[in-house]
Amino acid sequence: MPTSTSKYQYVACDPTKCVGCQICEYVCSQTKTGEFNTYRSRIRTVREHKILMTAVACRTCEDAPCVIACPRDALTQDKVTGIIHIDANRCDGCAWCIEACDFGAISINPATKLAEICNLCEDLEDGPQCVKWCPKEALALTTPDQRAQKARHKLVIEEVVKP
Amino acid sequence: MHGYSGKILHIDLTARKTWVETKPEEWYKMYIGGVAMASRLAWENIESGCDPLSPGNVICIAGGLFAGTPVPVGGKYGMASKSPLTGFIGDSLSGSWLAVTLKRSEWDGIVIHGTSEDWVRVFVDDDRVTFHDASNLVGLNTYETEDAIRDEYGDDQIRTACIGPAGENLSRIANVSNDGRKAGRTGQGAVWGSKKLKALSIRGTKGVSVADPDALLQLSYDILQAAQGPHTQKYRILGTSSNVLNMNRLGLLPTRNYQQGTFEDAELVSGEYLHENYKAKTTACAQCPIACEQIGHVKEGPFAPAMGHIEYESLFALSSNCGVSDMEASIKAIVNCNDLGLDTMSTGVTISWAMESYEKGVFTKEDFKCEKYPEGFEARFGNGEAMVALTEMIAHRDGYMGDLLAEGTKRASARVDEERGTETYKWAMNIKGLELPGYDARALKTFSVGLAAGTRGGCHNRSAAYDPDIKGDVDRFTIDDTRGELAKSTEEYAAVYDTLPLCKFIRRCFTGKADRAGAWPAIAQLINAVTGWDFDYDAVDLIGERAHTIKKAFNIREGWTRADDYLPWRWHHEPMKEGASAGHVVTEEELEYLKDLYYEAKGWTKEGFIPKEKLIELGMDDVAEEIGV
Amino acid sequence: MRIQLELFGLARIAAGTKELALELEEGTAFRDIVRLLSARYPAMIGNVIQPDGETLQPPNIFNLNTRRMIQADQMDECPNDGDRIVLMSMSAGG
Repeated sequence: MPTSTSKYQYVACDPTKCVGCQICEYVCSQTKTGEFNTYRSRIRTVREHKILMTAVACRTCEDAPCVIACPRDALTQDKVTGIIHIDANRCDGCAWCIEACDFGAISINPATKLAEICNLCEDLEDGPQCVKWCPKEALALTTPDQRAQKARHKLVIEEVVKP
Repeated sequence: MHGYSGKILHIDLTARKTWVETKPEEWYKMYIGGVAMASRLAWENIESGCDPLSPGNVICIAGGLFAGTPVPVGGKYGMASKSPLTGFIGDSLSGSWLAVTLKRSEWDGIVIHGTSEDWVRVFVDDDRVTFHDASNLVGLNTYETEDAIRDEYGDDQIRTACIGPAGENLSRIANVSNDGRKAGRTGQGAVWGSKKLKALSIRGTKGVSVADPDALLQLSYDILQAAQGPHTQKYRILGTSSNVLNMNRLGLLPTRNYQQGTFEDAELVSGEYLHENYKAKTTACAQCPIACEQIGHVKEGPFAPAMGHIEYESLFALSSNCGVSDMEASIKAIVNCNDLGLDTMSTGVTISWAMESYEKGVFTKEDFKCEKYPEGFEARFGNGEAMVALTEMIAHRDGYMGDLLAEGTKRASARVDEERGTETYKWAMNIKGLELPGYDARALKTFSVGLAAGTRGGCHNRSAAYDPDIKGDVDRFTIDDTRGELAKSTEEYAAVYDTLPLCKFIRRCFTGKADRAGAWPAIAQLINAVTGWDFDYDAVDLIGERAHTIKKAFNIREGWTRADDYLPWRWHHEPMKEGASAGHVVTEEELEYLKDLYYEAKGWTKEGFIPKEKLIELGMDDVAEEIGV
Repeated sequence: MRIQLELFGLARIAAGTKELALELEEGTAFRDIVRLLSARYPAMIGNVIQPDGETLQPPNIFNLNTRRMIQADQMDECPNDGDRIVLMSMSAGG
């Protein structure tokens, strides 16, 4: 739900909890396509140096750069939820949206070569399936304000209260 | 058909060509995947009597039924060949992303024949197979090889199985690595090296569909939730390394080449110590909600930097069994093995043989001369630096000792005993050539027959009979006439997991109980949700018996006889002196009696051969023709 | 009677200590020792000890004097003065 201080929700990952299992990717692709295929997942895990890992999905940026970049107006951003929608009829796979996205949150369908993006499972009652399934509770549906509050509370507990 | 494409990819490295073999649904119902399917492909394709390092040997890779789906811990695959270490079936399991990409490439299995003239890597890109010059990859370690190939294509979803320098140098204890996991045992790496196959890369872009996705998702979700609770706690927080203190207390921790079962510095090489001092993070394989990989990190000191995941079997072999108390040396040695492509277990137990041989005066300091240590060194028990150095020497066949130890304990001891008139075979700790695991079976008597009769050699994972012994379900210090049935039962139970494959760490997460009644019904439901078949408890149980039987049949065809089911000399003749298991041995009479019981429980003849009717009953008519009695 | 109780694995982490010297009444059963631990170290409940506070969560088990594992149906038996018990969690493979 949009609040007075911050409009848009997105799925965020806590890298200290993520173990890189990729179950989010199987479940996302299955939800969207009926098949398990990480190439069709809208959330993607990343691993570096054996121990650094996290997952990335659309960050529902304000005035999303991907929408601005699209030369064919195939991308639109819902004003209430911030969710990006891609019109497959207009998209021609030019990948300017991918250039514009700093987070690598947009992917290309290997069969159609068209762009795909997370829509927070807006059509499902229990919301983002990746969040539901993550075995380590590393994923959360959140807003920028909630992320900041969480970080401040964590800081207080770890550095002020515990010592 | 759901769950399978019906197609096996054959690759001939000599002629650089490929062909497709189709298999009927009945074949999949019998062999499923993992070690059973890989061993069946080995039975079908390997020239009997061939030298394992010759073109007649074949690499058989079989996928996982649950790979590429959210079924927890289903991301595994099997690999089989004729083992250069044992001369019998060499079946291994690995896991993580390669299993997933294999499934998505829509090949149920990949069979690699022949030998390449030059170093080659193969790329299976969905249904396009290409051969590439691998000379630029030769000498790279396993992680470097995977990264180089991924960078070349610019796709981080391309997954690669490869060998490191150890496999390139035909070390019989070399492994095949992928995604930080290993098809570890029996010398798979040497087979790849003999074929000049440096790497096999797979990209699969197809979607995986199943017969009943709703049922599969519901079952998977419940198992995933259960996997966060107490049934997996020990794996998630401490990992299997917590076994060091346990085994030490029971007097079963192999110490100084299995001379003793207690190590005075066990605390310093324990999982608890690792957790407190060296743990960097816990990570997971693909498709795994448990996450048991405890990553240890050495940041400072003579063995830094070293980071890798630490398991019990790797740890005992490269700490207490070498008399080494310095965990940093152990971590470094394990990481070396992972990088260079060596089986940590066989490497550690071979090094400990060399250390004992040195202490007994068979070897001198000069025998350990190599590039880094031109004067040689004193390979005493407890010398961590020597242990680390030897891992590198073995991978590169560097110096007399590196070249000797790369052969494994069985051949190394035979060669030395012939050359020097010694009796080092008495402390060459292997069964059928495969080095032993981290449990001393002088006081685990049910387990002793499980190890002796093991088809790939002395293997705890395949036998699993240490479980009733250690838990106290039976008296581990004595034998009785139930032990044959018990050894059969545990090994066939393990074989079900190794065939699907599913990681055994999930076994309590179906109902809270790990036994057949607690697990088979849920597994049957999972199988049916993927394939649309009609498996029940009995059908699942049969998977294990078939898996074990096809491996046994392979061995019989390669000349196995009852005499090949033996225990190492030390376990017959030298009781331990200290600890909870001191004073015990398995006598030769006891072993022969246990073997009688075990063969009888299996429905085999007294000589251990398989009656024709038994094979036909299992649906293996062609096998009955060839080796049934 | 005096009992030495050693803690391995998760039990050690939960209690923050490796070993306890316990002074117990004669006739104290193994089950009572579990109750004592859940009262003293509530962090053990859930992973080492079941929510009932008196049953060990498998595969956690008592090892008695290195030789004997105390099975679930033997938890009402009593240790003797001078016994050494280890609370360990049996693990496979790796």
